[in-house]
Amino acid sequence: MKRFFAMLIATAVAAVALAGASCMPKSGSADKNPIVNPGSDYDVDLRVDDVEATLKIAITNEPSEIQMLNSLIREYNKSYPSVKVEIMEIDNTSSFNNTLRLYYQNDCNNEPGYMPDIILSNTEDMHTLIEWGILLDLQPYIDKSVEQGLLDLDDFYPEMWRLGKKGLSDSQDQYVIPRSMDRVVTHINQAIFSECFKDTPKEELPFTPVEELYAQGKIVPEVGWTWQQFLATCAALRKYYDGVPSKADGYIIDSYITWAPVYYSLVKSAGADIITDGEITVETLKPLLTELKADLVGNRYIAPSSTEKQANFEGGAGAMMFHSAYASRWYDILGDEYNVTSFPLYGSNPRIGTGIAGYGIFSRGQNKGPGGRVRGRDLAWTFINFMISPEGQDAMAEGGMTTAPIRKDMADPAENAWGRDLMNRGINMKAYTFGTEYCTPVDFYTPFKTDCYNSLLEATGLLFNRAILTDYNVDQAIALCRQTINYEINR
Amino acid sequence: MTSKGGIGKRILKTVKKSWAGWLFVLPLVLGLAIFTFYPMVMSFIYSLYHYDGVGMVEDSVVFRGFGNYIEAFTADQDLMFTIPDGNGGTMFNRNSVFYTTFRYAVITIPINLVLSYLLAVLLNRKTKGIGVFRLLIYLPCIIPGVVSGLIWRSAFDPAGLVNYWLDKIGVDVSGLTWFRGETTAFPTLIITGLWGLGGSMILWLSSLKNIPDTVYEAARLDGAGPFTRLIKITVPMSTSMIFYNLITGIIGALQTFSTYTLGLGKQSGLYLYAVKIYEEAFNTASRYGYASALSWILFAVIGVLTLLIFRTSKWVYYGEES
Amino acid sequence: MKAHIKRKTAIDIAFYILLIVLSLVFIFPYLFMVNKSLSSELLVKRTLVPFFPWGWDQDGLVWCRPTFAAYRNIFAGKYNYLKNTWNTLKIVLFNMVAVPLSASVVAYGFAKLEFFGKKFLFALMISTLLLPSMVLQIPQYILFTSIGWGQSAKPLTWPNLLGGGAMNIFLVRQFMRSIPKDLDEAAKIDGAGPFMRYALITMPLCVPILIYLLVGTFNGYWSDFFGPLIYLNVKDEYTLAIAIFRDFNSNYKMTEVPNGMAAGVFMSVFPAILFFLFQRRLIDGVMITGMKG
Repeated sequence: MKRFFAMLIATAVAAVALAGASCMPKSGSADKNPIVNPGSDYDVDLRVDDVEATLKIAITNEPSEIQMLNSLIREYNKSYPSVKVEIMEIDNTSSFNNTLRLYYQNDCNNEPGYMPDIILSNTEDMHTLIEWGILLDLQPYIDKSVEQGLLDLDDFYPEMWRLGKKGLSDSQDQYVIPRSMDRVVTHINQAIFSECFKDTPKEELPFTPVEELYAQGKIVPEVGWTWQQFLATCAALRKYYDGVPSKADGYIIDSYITWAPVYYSLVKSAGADIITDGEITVETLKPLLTELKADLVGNRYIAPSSTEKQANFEGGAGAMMFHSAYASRWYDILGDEYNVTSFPLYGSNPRIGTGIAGYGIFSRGQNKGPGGRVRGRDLAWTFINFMISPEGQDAMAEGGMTTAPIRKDMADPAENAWGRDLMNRGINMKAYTFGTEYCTPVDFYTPFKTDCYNSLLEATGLLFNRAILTDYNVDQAIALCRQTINYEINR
Repeated sequence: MTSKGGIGKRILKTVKKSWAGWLFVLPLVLGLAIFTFYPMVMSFIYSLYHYDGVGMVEDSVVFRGFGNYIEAFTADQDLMFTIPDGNGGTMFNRNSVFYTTFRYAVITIPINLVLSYLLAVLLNRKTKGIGVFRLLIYLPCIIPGVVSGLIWRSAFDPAGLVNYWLDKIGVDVSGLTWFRGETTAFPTLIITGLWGLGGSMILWLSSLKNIPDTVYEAARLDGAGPFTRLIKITVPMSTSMIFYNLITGIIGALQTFSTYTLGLGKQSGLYLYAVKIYEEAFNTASRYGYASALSWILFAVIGVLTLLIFRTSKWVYYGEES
Repeated sequence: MKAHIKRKTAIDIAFYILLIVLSLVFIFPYLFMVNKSLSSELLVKRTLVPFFPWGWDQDGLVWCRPTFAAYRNIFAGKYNYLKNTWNTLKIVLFNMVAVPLSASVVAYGFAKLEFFGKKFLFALMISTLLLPSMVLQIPQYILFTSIGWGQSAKPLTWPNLLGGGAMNIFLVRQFMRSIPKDLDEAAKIDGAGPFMRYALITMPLCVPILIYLLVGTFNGYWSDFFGPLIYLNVKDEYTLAIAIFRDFNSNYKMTEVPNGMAAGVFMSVFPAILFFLFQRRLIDGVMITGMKG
């Protein structure tokens, strides 16, 4: 009996296996989307008139993003009233790119049209989307617009446009159109600063205060302060915190030290690099890591990862935060307690981390309008084109995006919508335009294949996490990082 | 019955007898074929390929033979058994997912079996109100996993309840990092798992009920004390349940996903195998081929262990015919 | 004699005390959850948050009282769990119909009918219980995506019409075998076909085990985590379990704990109610599982 059944099972499995083997999918075999990625050389129609169609834009579900985009859409609809622009909010807690990937699978395998037409992305995340073929090569649009005099690239910061190009290289094509220049700044809680330094005479302050604000009793460091001044400020704040019972357990700054723009600023300023000339040179980071650990964690300025805490700048407990987000986001939460200054300059050759956020177009969007006559990507380009115009940049600023715009002619915060309002309230908006000469993008991974970029960033972030925020042996953390990077680039 | 009349007639006869039965079990047959056996075979086939889930990119499906398996044991950063020690040499990787999962299973399975068994023995009486106690002890098992993850996370938070009480009785809580410390996270996980004992306890209770009271009476008359009764009667007669619980325990422990529900899925000392498979397949990457290989490794391990237990199962006493 | 009774009573009392202590320990998570859900926001900002919702806040200035604010938050404020609850209910209710139906049909085939390959099929079904579910998840996901069920809850509901789960079939079969055969035999003699016998005679007698299945299915799908995790990626379609996970567990903050606990209390209430209503049957149902040996 048993034998019989065993044979039965064997034949059944064999039959299924045979059937299964013939079913191994080939690349792209399940693809149902009729529109293909047109690559880098395709027809462009710049004269798209108002048409009854729907455009979908995918963004993260941050209230500030939504608000800003709504403002932009309102202005856009003034020139294109029949176009209905929908916002697709993607949950920020799981990976944005990951969800897009799942949507892309669904779009191709099942529901063409499920994917959004326009996608929010940034310097860090766009590489994967380009690799997967989700983002469209926008160079044909740019070239034709320049040719027809509709676009003048000199109006913009070329260093910033480079950060939306494939491989972050000037010689490659543009995939993401930047909407703003982001750089790491230091967000300040000026109420805490003023409390802490209220009895210190001006000459003895560890930094140079902003003159206009000092006269009003608000003590805020002026842009261009150095790392040494920053450390001295932290020391003074630490003393202050220790004197107040409710703050004694707290931390001074949310440093985001494991976030690439922040740590890479310091790495480059220290003259080290993770990859030099295509070789792994992680060991050069050791002095920096040891120094940061002693200075920041040893003195209790930042929270080690073994506590669940952070300094909690957002909640009003932390005094400072390194981040690149725009001022109004924190102003809306902290109100008059908020101010901002530049990222402290480290060493003699300082660097400030930068990147861009911008929009790309889905390469395989469906055609729009009655009869599908208007190409989806052409309609999407009208939106992006509007976004980089002065009207568009103003609209975004009205909607709360108070960071330096991508246009050179709008750089002055006192004159333009993005900074005017906040400057009037005493916010030090110069921080967002200070030090453009120091700006460095995070680009150490560019010599390698696109699909390992994220892993390299992850490995380096992990290195900083382990070496600084935990009790890990620094040498071992570096060796592990080297091993991971080696593994990833040779896959 | 002779075979005169041939195979055809025999087949017809079988069909006549069985058609109703087949109809009734048809859903099961279809379900097994489509949702169990087909996926199982495909899973193995995927494991022999580099299969990138996006599927629309060139090079997303490439044959690798056993490359995935080799990579899992020698090159995968999370699974490797040895890591560099910073001085040019190598040391044992205490955070290897293999090792963590192994440790977890080896510790929780015996603890769970023994403690829940003792609980069941304790509550296997006919005293008044015993039902209430059984209920209360079983209660934590009804809390949805997500919710209990949140409860434990906040209870063992440095600002949370456990520290609050320890502080009240004078223990210094500043060094107690519970879930976030490298060495303390694992024990904390084991401790929080103890509240699930009620589930196993109920199963034990049912098997204990099958031991007739007469046996106990006889033993008592012979002068056997409670402890002797436990070892000589209760345990031997529940071996079939022990067997069942051991196997389900192994299968369950090796597939624990609760660390992900806690929100701590990838933390160094807590990275369990099932979470690793999930991460590879659905979360950060979509390397279906590699993840399938990992799941087959798990299957193989479970298979071998189960086989071992079956082979050495002479000690099991089957109280009744099944 | 008296000494003997005294000793016995002492043991009994000690025994009760032990049980009470154990029960308190086990019930601690529930109490914790309810207490935290009533704690006010200020209270949870302390360095060490107390158990009961009464206490001074961090700076020692405000005396905090228990409040229902967290409950209001989860339905009106930032979170909108009614939609998620409805999503969960849709899945659960479908399965509560599909699973008992499907499992009992198949179980009847195994329990009361004879057919070629019955033993083989049964053994095969039981052996699938040993399969780690992880092995099947990935290919099933690929299968479902390729037929277009990728971003919906369909993979969590429709497949249950085909059998409803090996364990469930097993349980129902055991139960059916323990029903006396006379009624069924009598009906067969009277000429009733198998389907009529199943529907009109066996099923009504199976109510206890069906109730067990119903409650088990409810609990299983109400708190199902992995399934919705991989199939549902749009916020509006999340089930309650995933919504709570994304909002609280994955970016855990102590200050959000009261809201999370309120959501937790809400989510635990339904299984708890079912449990208290049907606990007798549930425990008995588990006893039946135990009898297989």
